[in-house]
Amino acid sequence: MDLQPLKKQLLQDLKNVSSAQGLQDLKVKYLGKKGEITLLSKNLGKLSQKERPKAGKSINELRALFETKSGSLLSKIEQSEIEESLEKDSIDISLPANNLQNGSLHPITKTIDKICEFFSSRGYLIEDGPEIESEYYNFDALNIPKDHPARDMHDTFYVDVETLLRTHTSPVQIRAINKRSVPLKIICPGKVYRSDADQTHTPMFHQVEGLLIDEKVNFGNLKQELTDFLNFFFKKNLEVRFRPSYFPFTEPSAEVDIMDKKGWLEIMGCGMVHPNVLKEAGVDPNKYSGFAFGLGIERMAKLDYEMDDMRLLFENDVRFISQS
Amino acid sequence: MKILKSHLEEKIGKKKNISKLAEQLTMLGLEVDSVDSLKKDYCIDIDLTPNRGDCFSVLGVAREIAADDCIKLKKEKPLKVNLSGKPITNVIIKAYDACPKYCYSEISNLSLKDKNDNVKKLPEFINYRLEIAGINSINPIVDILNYVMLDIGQPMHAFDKNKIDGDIQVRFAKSNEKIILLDKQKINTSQDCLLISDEKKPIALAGVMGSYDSSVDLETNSIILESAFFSPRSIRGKGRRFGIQTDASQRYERGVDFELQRKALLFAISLIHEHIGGVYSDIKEISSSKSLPTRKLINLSISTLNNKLGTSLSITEVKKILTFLEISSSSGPGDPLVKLKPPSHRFDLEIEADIIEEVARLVGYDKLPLEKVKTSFQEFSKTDYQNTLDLKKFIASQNFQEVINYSFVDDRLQEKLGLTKGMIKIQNPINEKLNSMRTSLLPGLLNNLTSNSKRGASYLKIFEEGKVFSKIKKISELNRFAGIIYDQEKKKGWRESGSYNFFSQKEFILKLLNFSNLQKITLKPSSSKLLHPKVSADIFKAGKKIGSFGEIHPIILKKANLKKSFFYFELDSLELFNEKKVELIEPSKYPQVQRDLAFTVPEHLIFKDIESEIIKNSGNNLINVKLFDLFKGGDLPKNHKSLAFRITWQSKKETLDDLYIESIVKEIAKNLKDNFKVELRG
Repeated sequence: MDLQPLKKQLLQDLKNVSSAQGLQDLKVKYLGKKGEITLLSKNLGKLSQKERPKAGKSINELRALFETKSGSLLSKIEQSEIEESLEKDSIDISLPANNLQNGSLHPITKTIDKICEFFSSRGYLIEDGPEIESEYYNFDALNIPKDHPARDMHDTFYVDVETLLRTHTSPVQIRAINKRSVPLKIICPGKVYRSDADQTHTPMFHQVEGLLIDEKVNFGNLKQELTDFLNFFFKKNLEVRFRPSYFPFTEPSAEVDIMDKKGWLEIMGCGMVHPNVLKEAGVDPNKYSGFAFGLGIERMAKLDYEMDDMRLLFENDVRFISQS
Repeated sequence: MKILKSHLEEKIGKKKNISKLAEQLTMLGLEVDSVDSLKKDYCIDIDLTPNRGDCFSVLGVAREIAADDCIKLKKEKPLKVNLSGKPITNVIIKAYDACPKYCYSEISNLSLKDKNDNVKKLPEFINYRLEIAGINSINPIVDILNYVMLDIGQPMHAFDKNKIDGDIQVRFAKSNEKIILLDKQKINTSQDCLLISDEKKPIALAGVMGSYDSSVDLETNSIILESAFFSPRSIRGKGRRFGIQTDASQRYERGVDFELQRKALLFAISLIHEHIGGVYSDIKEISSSKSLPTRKLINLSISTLNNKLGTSLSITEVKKILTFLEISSSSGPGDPLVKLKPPSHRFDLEIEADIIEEVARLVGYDKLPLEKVKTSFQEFSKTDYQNTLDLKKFIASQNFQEVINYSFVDDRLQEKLGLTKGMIKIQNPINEKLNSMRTSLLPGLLNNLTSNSKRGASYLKIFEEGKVFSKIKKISELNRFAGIIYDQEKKKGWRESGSYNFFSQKEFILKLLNFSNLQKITLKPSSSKLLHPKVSADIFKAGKKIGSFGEIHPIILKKANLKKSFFYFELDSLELFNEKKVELIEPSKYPQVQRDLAFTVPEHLIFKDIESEIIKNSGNNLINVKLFDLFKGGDLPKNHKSLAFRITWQSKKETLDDLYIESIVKEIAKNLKDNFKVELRG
């Protein structure tokens, strides 16, 4: 049986076809119920025993040839049909998605979070405390008696004779010890108030207070913890300096400086918790010791964002604060 | 305190490199604020901490340098002046606790002017040192007394003897006793004010300032020189009460060396003798040793010291440091405790921790070793901080910009807005615009809206989280979230249309509540006076109101001088922090069935009631009821609206058949008709 003419015709047909439908038609023409190859197979029985295997093999080869060729042709045709339809979907992706304002957190919130992130990772709990405080928690319990010159360092807003707007976050130290128990690791971010206003002072500002109390805490622990923190915050290996200072609620007390482009820059106050403060909070200073630190958020934000005028942080010009 | 480098070097007895000196002082705790380079000298500005009254003089600073350099300061030259005869004036101390020691002497035959009637001049170095210290020149006597104070730290005062009537008393004020001070300020003293007085009138507010009437002037020819020790407690807060802070009061408040008075008086006399002249009485000292400050023994354990500092100092090293600080020590051999006695000039050394700080200072804070913290385990718990931050991040993700306003606002604004309930006023506000604690976050946000729209913003979404304050019986602080949505954008983006409305806000609020794990809430028409009564809602959680949202009340707009409306919300923060126990349920494998039903509803009926009725009659397999169309007019009867619902059912056990669904639909239609006169539309 000579299949050559049929093969020639089949190859020609496949060459001419250009659509998925056309290919489907060819499939019917050759492999359908009455297709030419199907018919050949059906007629195999009419051949002699001897011719049959060879003819069968040729027919199968022809069928395979059609299926292979039409299969690859089909995927080519589909590919080009998809490409054609993609072209129709074409849009200008450079058109704007949204012309309106995007949201963001205030630079102060971001700075506080960066600080809390570090101390949280070291196991400190994040505490909160009242902003309207009693003189007791703000001063007396922190070893700052009435008329003590240290009170002059705080320009205090009063709401009545013995109630004030807290001048620092340190009252939370006592409150946290009273609320929880020692050993203890806490930090407390929050608003504080002092009657002072110029380029570097606003009557309300933010601080983060930190307190760690345990057995055998020493000054070296304080130095290490705060050095690690400053390196984390400024993302570099800073030159850090601890120098003696004075806070009534810590002894020894220190001021922490970092080396900046222009020289040493005061960054935070800290010290070992004063035994009187521990006693006042009901902790045995012979068994426990601890350190405390406090830092001004605006100052940290100022350095981090390289900005000058602190007051801008509270003017809430969206063009300014949305940059963070 | 400003001092000259040369003055300090004169006291120490050696030259110093200026930058090393500044560094040394700072590292000792005497922070050098600035160093000004002068023609032949340097002016060093030291920022003294309130505990170091002993450093409030050139001598005090020199003592610190000497201790750090391990040298001893040289002794002062003995005086070469003839003192003779008792002072004529008697001094009687009636308050020994406040004034344990009073030294004085009288100088007569004085003349502050020379033959040519010119005021006598003091040597240039005295004038220059005073000028650098920022102490104004008054007259040669006062200048010399100020110089003694600057040099060794003892505040002194001179009275014009001819202006004094009889004897002098040191006593507390009688009630309402008046005195005109040197600066001509007239003050009304109270019974806790220590006064120096003569037989007729007060002549000084002790340790703070003398009276105008008894002051030395250029015609003065005889004086009484006072060099006293007033206890810090008796002086503290007195100047401040009258708004006065003097060089004397600052030193007395912090503590003046109580063994310095006679020495200072001699020093002053020798300078007056040398540069002005006069005849001198003996120095008279009246004191009560039992009222003088005591220096209690402090027990120092070397092992405690080393534990607190992380050091391994020997007892010999520690004692050496303390000796240079003039802290005397004694301990028997093998005694674990060293007994220490601080010198009379130190008022800040009372307990072991104070001594540990001294040792740390002198070793150098920078030399103390760093050590990793090894603390006990502390259980983690999520606090309000994290919850607040999560919510802030969510709100910011909804295109809100966070703002932070002062907690105090103008009380007149709060009054205008009707926000005065429980308003707390500040007694000493920094200015009238910041004189009351906010009772709501609205005033601050309104200010932000005004200022930003003035700058041209026609679209603004801002929010704030913070405390609001009130006092009804007692003070309360509540954390709130609040925000403003202001949309006056005329030309929206190329694909946006329509302005922000109540339902845009409702969608946001529900998303927020969902984020806060608060699904079971009820909305009711708002009772807030800040909001438009017809376009606002209160949010209830288990019957408790937790916030409101909606369009701002037109009255508020008017009061705030705003022309264009905006949307506002305010929520209680703590109510938004909810833990949710979640159970994940496997979805049904059987198909969902949906029916779309439209109803003709009388205009006055609200959606929620219709929806509830549908839910009530929809059987156990109901998945959800969704409103997909609402319209009025068209072929509807008058005062009616059409509500179209897509209702979805699905069973967990079987495929639901049409008969079942049809029976439910009939039930829904029947009940709506019977109970609400609502008709199912064809």
